[in-house]
Amino acid sequence: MLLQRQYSLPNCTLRIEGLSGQAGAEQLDIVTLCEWEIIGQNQRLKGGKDFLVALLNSVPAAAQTWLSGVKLRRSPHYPIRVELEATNQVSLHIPRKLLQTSSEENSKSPTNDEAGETLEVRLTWLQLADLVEALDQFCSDSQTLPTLTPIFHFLPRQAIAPAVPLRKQLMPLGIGAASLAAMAAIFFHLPVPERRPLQEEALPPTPEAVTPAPAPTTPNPPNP
Amino acid sequence: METANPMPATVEFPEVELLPPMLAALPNPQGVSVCPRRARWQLDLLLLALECVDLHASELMLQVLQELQLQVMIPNRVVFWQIRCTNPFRQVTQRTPLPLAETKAITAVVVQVARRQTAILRHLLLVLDQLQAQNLPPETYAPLAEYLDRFRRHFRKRMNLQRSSLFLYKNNQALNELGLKLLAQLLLCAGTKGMERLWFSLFDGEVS
Repeated sequence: MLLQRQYSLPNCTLRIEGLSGQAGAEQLDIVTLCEWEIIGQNQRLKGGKDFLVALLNSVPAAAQTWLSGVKLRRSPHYPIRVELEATNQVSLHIPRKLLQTSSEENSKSPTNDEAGETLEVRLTWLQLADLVEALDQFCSDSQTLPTLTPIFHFLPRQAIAPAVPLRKQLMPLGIGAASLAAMAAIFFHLPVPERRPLQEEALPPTPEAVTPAPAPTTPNPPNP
Repeated sequence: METANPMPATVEFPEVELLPPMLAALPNPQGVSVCPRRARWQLDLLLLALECVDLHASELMLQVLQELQLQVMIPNRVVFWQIRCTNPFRQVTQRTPLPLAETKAITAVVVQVARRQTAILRHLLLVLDQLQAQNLPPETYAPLAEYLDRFRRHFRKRMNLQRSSLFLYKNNQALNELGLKLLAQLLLCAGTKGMERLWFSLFDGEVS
């Protein structure tokens, strides 16, 4: 029996079709189709379970990174690349191999492979929030793929790019070392000052040296 | 007459962190015992944006504290204000560390108030889309302009713009972009798994 689940939000609809592993059960275990409709753009993207898993792995993680505001040292190796570029602009780069194209689209664009390996989808912040919410609702649904649970993890310190880039951190050190080397080179070529001995005979006599000491006026009385 | 088995003077209980079930679901990150600096800044900014979206949001925050039975940790508005002042970029800031239990409580407040303001947040972001499609600035729409104006004023009144990292926000355009970004971030927090997403994002780059 074909089962359908639909998670509708104002700007996004996620429709999952599949089969149950047990006859007569309502639990969707095998995904045959995943359709994501972006309502503001009248665009529908279809794919299989790989597309659904790629969305689940990429989009919530990108949303968490954007929420934290940190910059990653390297771009994550997710199947779908999510870029939050400027104000209210998000772009998703989805590999075409994850998507199913209908026969009409193939006939319209016979040079589809030449257009590129990824399809770029532009979203607004509101559309991104709705997509994340639809994926969260799907993960929280115990009747649809109960083995799929949302996975959150703390990004380790090693994955985060430093707030001040290494080049900028090393710049003061480099300037200091270069100025020290330059000054050392300048002082190396200067002659070392010679120590001159004191010339005492050349000095004129001071007036205190020639002034005689005053003679005592009265002699001391002899002691008895 | 002495009893055979005298009772001990004090009974020692093991130290267990008693939290409401909603907060107990948020795991403590390994190797982190207090709220990191960036998380305090981020939480205070989200609360500031909520206050600017709705004038009654500060009262709503205290009401949410009561409803979620978080008054054990944050009993009144003074303690709430003191916790917000742990943001290192405020003009009036205090260096006391913020424990993880209080951080969880503030996270819950942000999420619950954002959920109640989802309609306003969605409306403002929808209008922003429409204005951007027509190449019009956000100040064209009166409620959005009012939000941005209030955000700029509150930000400049409370934050220390002499800090080098906040020097950027002397510019109105940069502050507007921050205010708009916070609207979208609040909408992400208001979702089904918004609390977990916000909590995990607070410690990105803080665990080893």
